[in-house]
Amino acid sequence: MNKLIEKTWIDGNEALAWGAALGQVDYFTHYPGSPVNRVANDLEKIDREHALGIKFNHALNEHVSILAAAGASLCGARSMVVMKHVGLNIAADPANYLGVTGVKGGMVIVVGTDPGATCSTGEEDVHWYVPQFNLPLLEPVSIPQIVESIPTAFELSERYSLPVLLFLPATLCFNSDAVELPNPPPRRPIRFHFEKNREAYTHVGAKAVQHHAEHLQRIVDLRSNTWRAREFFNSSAPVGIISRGAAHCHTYEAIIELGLEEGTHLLTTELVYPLNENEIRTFAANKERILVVEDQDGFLEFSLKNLLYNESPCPIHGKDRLPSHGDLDYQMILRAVADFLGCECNPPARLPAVEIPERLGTYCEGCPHRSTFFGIDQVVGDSDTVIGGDIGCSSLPPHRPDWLLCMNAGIGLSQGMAQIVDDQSIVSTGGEGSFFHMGIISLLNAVHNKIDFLHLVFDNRIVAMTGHQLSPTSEAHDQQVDHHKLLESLGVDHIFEANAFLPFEVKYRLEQAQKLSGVRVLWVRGNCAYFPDAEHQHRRKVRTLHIHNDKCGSCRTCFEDLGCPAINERPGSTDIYVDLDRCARCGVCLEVCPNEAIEVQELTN
Amino acid sequence: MAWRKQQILNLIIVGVGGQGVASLMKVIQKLCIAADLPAQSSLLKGGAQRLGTVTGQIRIFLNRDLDHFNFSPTVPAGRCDFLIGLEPWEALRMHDRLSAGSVVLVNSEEAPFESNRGSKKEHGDPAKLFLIAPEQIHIHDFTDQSRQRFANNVMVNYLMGEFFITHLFPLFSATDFTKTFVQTVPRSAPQLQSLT
Repeated sequence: MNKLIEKTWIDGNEALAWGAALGQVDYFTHYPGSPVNRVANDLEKIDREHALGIKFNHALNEHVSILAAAGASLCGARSMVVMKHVGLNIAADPANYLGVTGVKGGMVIVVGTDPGATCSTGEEDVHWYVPQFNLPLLEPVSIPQIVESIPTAFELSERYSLPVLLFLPATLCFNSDAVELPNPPPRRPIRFHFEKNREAYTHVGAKAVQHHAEHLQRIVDLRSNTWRAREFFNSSAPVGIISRGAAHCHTYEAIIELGLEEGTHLLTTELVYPLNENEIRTFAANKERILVVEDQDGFLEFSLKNLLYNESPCPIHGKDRLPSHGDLDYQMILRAVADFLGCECNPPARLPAVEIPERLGTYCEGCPHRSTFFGIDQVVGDSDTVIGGDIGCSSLPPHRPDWLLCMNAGIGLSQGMAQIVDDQSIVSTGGEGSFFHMGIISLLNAVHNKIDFLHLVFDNRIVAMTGHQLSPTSEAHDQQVDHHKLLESLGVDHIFEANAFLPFEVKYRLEQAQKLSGVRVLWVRGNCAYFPDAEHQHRRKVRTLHIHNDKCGSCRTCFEDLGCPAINERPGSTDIYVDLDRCARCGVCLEVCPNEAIEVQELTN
Repeated sequence: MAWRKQQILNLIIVGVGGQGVASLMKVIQKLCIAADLPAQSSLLKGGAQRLGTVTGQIRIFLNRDLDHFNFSPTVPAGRCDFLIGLEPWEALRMHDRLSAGSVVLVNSEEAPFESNRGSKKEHGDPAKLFLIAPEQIHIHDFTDQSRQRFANNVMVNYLMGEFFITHLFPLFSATDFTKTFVQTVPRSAPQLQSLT
């Protein structure tokens, strides 16, 4: 037994990292995205502290990430790949065939889901991919179970030569619990080697069909021999409740609060796909009715109904009593369980809700996107010019772009618009993270098709929104990409550059670019406020700012149009001031003030 | 209070991004470990680093017989025993988590609604909208206290945590709170060194 280290609080991201370390992962790769944005950072920390020697691949998109994990697995390594739900769309092409190919070292595909869209642009239910990929799916329900589930997934993966999916909703990713963790064991002393086997790894014609049949058989074997579920309360009760994922804890507590322990048999399944038919039949055998409590579209309910079709007279309920949208909270589940069991639900008298405007956040003080958009606004104004938006910090309120759809939607949608409209100016935008994710291919597509089109890249030199991972243009990168040479080699017709912290330079370059035709790129550089360059750090130490309200013409340009959180209005007055505890001293407010009312004082000591 | 019956103490800490909700929650988490109290917590924040709503919830299981790993980590509506609001509108957003027996601690300084900067819309006084008995709501200008005591406005989370431990729920000692705060938020060390 490994020596216990001290009890510590970990959240879902850290639990995944600890699970990977305890499962003796050899190879880790990911594309960062909330809610699983910090797993790589946490695992790197564990790797450093315990000298595990895990190999990392900070991939530039999910497609390459999942393939890299598969490659490592085919050489015998235990590999883990992490992405968010929408990332699985990007990885879906190879994921469709990994079950057919099979794996050698254990391979785990972790996907962060987002019922309630707390940190994403949508709450897509990726469960429907699971029967299509035909890969086993684990869904742990608590922090300790997340830690345990990764070693379990590796074992299952190796036993059945299948990658194992593990879904974790945002609620669990951001929950924390105090757990005792053993020291991670050293990595297994294995010499990784790819054993050539074209017969197994090449799928054409009859071989593709044969490998598909073998894949199906492995799933049948796994389904028959594996049952990972926990049962609670009274197994002879006529009412069954089945839950998965984050709904489990709410359901368990609701049954206790309602005092229904005697009248209910709760089954929580960790292995959500494939379901062990015999075990499900045994559970359903003495039930008069079953309620399925789960978030999103009702994948488990659908699977159970499919499995028991024409077999059990026991009615199965679920999405007729619980919504398919949003995150299921405790109150919803409490009511659904009470209603299903016909008991009175008397939750404590609560105070009424008060309607408060939603706060979605904004750019940080000193964020390069704020000044860049100020510059763009100077050109676009209230005109009919279309601003294409993209996922990332640049999409935060006050929501300047005209759409927000998915990664690289800006650079893609804009091309179709640019080709089809005659009298409207189209400017697409996106961060450098998106650009290197797939935007680079989209840009090449514009060159390839000679599309008259302008794209702005916000290069803040870090993948900011998802946890500040390095991007290819990060200054800390060993091999920082020369974006200018890259754009030249792609065949971009006109390349412009601007300093993000000089909004009128952005304005000037944008106007220049709009006058030309062909494929045009305006590359706007400015470090993320979390990683200010040396000059900004120096300014923060030596500079203080003051707004002279007697000189201020009350144009409110700095307060409203620029909208820096460090510039505030005094309560009950129109006077504005700089909150020096917040101010990053980026100097953009000096640039935009038409009245020179902001004074800079350099501290000499 | 509900926790006396349930023996689960439900605490919610709310504010906006950048105020230190997560840090204060971590401090209380560590104090729970030190006191060997089983607890669960959850932190909800959006994609933004700044001025988005941040909600931290901690449930402390005073009844050790409860299998706390299977309990919900979020505080059910009407079950919040203590609400610490680093920003008054965000505290008010949690109004339906409160019951008549809840105790509320609120910082009076408002954070502007960034999306409404240009609208000049007056929202009124949030403190007056709480439907709670006067003796159960504690509203102070902790931002001003932070300026007075530490010459900055970033110690609001420390001051509110200290007030909570000292005046409302002395489950942990104020000295332990301060020591744990310094360990968790190292940049606070220069200001709090004399107290540790």
